[in-house]
Amino acid sequence: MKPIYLSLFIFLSSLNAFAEMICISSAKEHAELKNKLPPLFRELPLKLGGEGKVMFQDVFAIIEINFRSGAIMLNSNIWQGPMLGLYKDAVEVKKVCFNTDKNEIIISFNSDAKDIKGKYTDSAVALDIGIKKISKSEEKGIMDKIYQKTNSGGAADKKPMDKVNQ
Amino acid sequence: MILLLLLSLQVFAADEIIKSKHDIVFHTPDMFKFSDVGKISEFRGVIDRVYFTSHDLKMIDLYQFKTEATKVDKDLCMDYVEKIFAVNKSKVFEVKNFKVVESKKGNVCEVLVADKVAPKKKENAYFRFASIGFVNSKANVLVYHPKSINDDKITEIRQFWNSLR
Repeated sequence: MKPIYLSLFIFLSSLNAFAEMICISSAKEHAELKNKLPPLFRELPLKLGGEGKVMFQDVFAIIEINFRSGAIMLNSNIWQGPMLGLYKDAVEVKKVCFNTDKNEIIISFNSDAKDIKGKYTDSAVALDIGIKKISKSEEKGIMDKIYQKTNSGGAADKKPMDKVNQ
Repeated sequence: MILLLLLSLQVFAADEIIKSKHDIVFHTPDMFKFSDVGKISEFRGVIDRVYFTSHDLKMIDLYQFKTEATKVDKDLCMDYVEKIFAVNKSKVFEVKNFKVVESKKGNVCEVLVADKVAPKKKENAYFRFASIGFVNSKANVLVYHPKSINDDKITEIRQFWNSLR
């Protein structure tokens, strides 16, 4: 390798090594690093939503990143109907990291669960699993659709699901 | 017609994973989108007990682990509980009770894990209840999400375990 290319390679590698990575693993760290975080993550909860179809069934998901007594949690509320109804789960997050150079978010878990990656801008977040940040009105829209479909017959659980958030 | 074919293929595939004498439908993560978010690779999917219309024991997470072990003991069970909930690192999940009981299929561990900080809302699950044992030589962990736990629910959970084939 010519010395010029070698120098360039070392220079570029060093740039990458200094790419800023900010991680939060608790409410305390979030408070301390708040001003360095991407704007959308300065206030939690952050609600992410997705819609789709699996085997001709409608799927709606609202996944929330939030604090719970200092810990960071990922609360899932998934409705896949009419067969399944509502499925809820809450998993503990180890840390949420932001690569501010690449506008990349990485969510990792206390367990060995696979990291979730995604991209963000000042006003949007999209995770690789197929969900993106939703506004309050979009969240309401999803909830209204779930409510309508739940009550249009064939649902496993006919109770109105007025509150899905933990 | 295509839908029926696809459904039957999925049901056939799911049938290989878990069977019960009770009326269940098993949903792999491919069939039940987002159900595997934040879960380890041993997560196989969700068992839906379709005979319940609304019950906090209706949906059960299924994990299957590869192991050389042939018997259920505390070390094996706590290893699986740690893998699923990471209780030793957790600020949220705590093992509240542990028991080994006999079943028709040999010994089963029953581990009650409390979600210590679940917000006090009636729709929230404050516990995870794990039944751990061998079915057809596979190490299975069934994780329920009960809002509360009592003797009736534990009896029901044991009946379901005995229904597995």
